[in-house]
Parts: sequence; C-alpha cells; structure tokens
Amino acid sequence: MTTKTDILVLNELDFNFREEIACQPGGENIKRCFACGTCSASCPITEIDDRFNPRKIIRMALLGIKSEVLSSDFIWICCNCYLCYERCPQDVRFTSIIHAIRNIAIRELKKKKNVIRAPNFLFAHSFLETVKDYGRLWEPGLSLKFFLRKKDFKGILAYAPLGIKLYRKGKVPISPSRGGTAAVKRIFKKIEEREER
Amino acid sequence: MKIGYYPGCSLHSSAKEYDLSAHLISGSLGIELQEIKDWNCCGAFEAASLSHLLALALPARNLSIAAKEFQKVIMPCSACLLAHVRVKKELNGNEKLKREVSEIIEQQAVVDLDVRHLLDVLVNEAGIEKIKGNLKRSLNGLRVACYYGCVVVRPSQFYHFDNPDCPQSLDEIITALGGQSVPFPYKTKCCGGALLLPNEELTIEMTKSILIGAKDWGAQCIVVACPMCHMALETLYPKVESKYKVNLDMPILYFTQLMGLAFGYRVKELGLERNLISPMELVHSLQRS
Repeated sequence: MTTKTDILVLNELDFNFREEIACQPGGENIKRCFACGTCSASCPITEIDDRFNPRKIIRMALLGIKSEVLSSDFIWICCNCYLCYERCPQDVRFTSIIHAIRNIAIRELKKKKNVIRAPNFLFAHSFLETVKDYGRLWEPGLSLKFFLRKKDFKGILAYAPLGIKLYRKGKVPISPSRGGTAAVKRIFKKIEEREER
Repeated sequence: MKIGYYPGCSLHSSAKEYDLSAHLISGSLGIELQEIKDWNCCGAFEAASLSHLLALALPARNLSIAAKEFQKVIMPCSACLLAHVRVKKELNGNEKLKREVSEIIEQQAVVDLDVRHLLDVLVNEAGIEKIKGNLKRSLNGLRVACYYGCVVVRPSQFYHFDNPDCPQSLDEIITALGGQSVPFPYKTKCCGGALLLPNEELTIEMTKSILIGAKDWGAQCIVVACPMCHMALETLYPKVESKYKVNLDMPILYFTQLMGLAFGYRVKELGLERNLISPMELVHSLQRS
C-alpha cells in the first residue's frame, strides 16, 4: 500500500530547482548523475544511517522536490570526507553539490522561505560567528555559542567535564588567539552586503 | 630552506603538541618553518556550507599574504589544506572570480604558490633516506596503525601526493624508523571529526571502526596527521570503550611525535604529556628496549 508521502504531486514539483543548483558554484555537474550509487556505496554516513543517502538527495533534487530537500536535516549531515567526490565516475562532485544546496537553503532561510533546524547548521553558524569575532577559531567560544543556539543546556553540562580535562592539558586557551581580525571582519561585511543584493 | 608555515587554529590551541613536534622534526630534516604573518582561520569545512564566497576569501587572504614572502606553504592540518588547495583550484584560470575575491580581501588575490601537507614535504622533499639518517632510537618493531584520515589524500582532483585509496607515506616513515605498519583497512576512512560536536552519536560510530579496527589488526598505537582526527579519536575513546565494552589500550600520537621519539627528542619537547590518552607506557617500553 502506498502512503501519501510516497506520492509525488506533479504540480508541487519545482522543475527549476535543478537549474538553480547547476547555477550555484559547485553544483554545475548535478545533471551528469546516472544514479549508479557509487556515492551512497562509498559514504561512511550512509553505512551507519541509511536515511542519509547521496544518490537519493541528487534524485530528489533532479525531480524538483525542492522544499523537502532544503528543509531536510540530512543535507547537513555530510561530513565532507570527499570519498564520493573522489570516486564518482561521472564527476558529479557530490560534496560540492551539498555545499551548493546548503548555500541555497540559507538564501531561502534569509527570505523566510525555509526553516533549518539541523544541529550541524547551528554548529557551522556558531563556528563562523567565532571566526568573524576574532579572525581565528576559539573553541570554548564556539562550543558555548553552539549549545546556547541549540538551547541545549544539558549539552553544556555534559561537555563540562571534557572541557575541564582539555583545559588542564593546556588544550583550551582562556582567551582567543587573534589574527587578521579587522580584515576578516571586513571580509564578512563585504560578503554579507553582496549576498543581500 | 625557509618555508612558509600555516599552523591553523588547532595547532595554536588543542593541538599544540603537533605544532611543537612538527617544528622539531622539520628542523632536524633541514626545513625551517616560518609562520605566515597575521594569518586568519581558513573557514575549515564550515565556510563552504554557509557561503561559497566566504570559503574562497578566507584562505585566499592567507595565500596572498604568504605569497609576499614564500613560494611554498606547509599545512599540518588536513582541513586547512583542503580549504587552501580548493581556493587554488577554483581561482586559477577564473579571472572574474579572482577579481571579485581580490575586492573582498582588499588585496590582489595570489594563489599560485605551492601548498603542501607537512607529511608530503617530509616524505617527498626531505625524503626517507634523510629520515633514516636521523634515527637515534629504533621503534624496535612497534606495531603502528597508520591513520591518514580523509582530506589529506582526497580529493586527488585538488591535490595529489599519495594514493587516495591506499596511501603509503606514513607507512614508509614508520618502517624507516624500525617500526612495523600493520595492515589497516581503515586508513582513509573518515573519523567524522567535523561532526564531533553537532552529531556525537554518529561520530562515535565512525571512530569506533578506526579504534577497534586498529586493535583487531594488532596495532599498539595509532599515528595521525590531522588535529581533527586526533581530537575525535581521543575524546571519543572512553565512550567507544564503554559503549562497546572493550579495553582499547591504544594511544593516538601525531606522526611527528612518534618520529620525535625515534629521533631522540624528549617527552616534554614533543608535548607527549598533553595527549589525552597517555602514551607514557609505550614511551617507556621504547626507552627500555
């Protein structure tokens, strides 16, 4: 028996989505995919959780199932190991396609047309905010920002013992290391202005 | 020979021991690492997810600064390496994009320098013979799992110095120093380091196959060439032990730390007391032998 979620409603599909991805840097080769599945067979994440499936993400994108792809947590789970990129016989470059899709998801988020709740998104956001502040990464600041953004106060408590251990080993500096701070702030500002256009 | 050195954020904080040992080993092999001035974070894996332009601008600024003084830059961190070789690949031959990035970083974007991983330079420029020549205390048959991680050898479309499926550089070093590199099918399997904080459960599963795999293949320790791999393997080690009820007994060293022991450097010089999984038992057994 088919459930409603198995049915594709034609007039709900966005056939322009594949073109939108192909126009985004990194997404150029998406239409080359002939669905051989080398990406999914190589993927270390699929091996653990088959709800994440590169071949399926490409197929959904090509079919135009836009909002489901853009709001899905799974586009944020790719760990950037580039094994699919290395092996793809069609040079589809899935890792870059994932970046392109994430960039589109964020653009739609800014236009309030998309919602992203994936922890990996919150993490990336916190990471770059830290870099914007200091020019370099400051791990304690990143961790705190991430858990606060996720509203995960238990997470802070759960990580505290590890934080203390790392501190005792001299692995977490109390104050951030800075480099290129002013220049990086301007880089962020210029890019934000460009992306708002 | 003076070469530009981009340590990346980790080597100034959580991976200080990699920084210490990288300088010592390079020095022994006649390579003087000189830190690039006023460098910034490369954006690691995260910048590319949020903004394509940001993922180009951050590393492009570093390379453009480096190009004023050096023709070659060494990176000890695989994630930093990836960000910098990626911007090289994307900007080379794309004048329009290069102009845009130059405007953003407020200087001419120069990316055509030689960007190399530390491992590549030690094996292919200093060379195995020179490494052998520095041997003071043999590793004496120590069984080592050589763990390369993912982006040091991938994607070979960006940067290629070793076989992306079955690299040999680390194995050659270990063998040259009297150790034994065990057959290790997980050498380039991703540890999930980039997901460590946002997705710990998944990362535990990913590190598990590497940690337990090393034990199954008879290794006495693991060597790594990336601070993110080191962080993931060390911090999840106790969780893998309790979840899978195993006693791993498997210290994880930066390859430069193990080289340092064979070159006769002291524990403190190599920052070995900073490792979370204490390698002291292994160090003592090497010193006794």
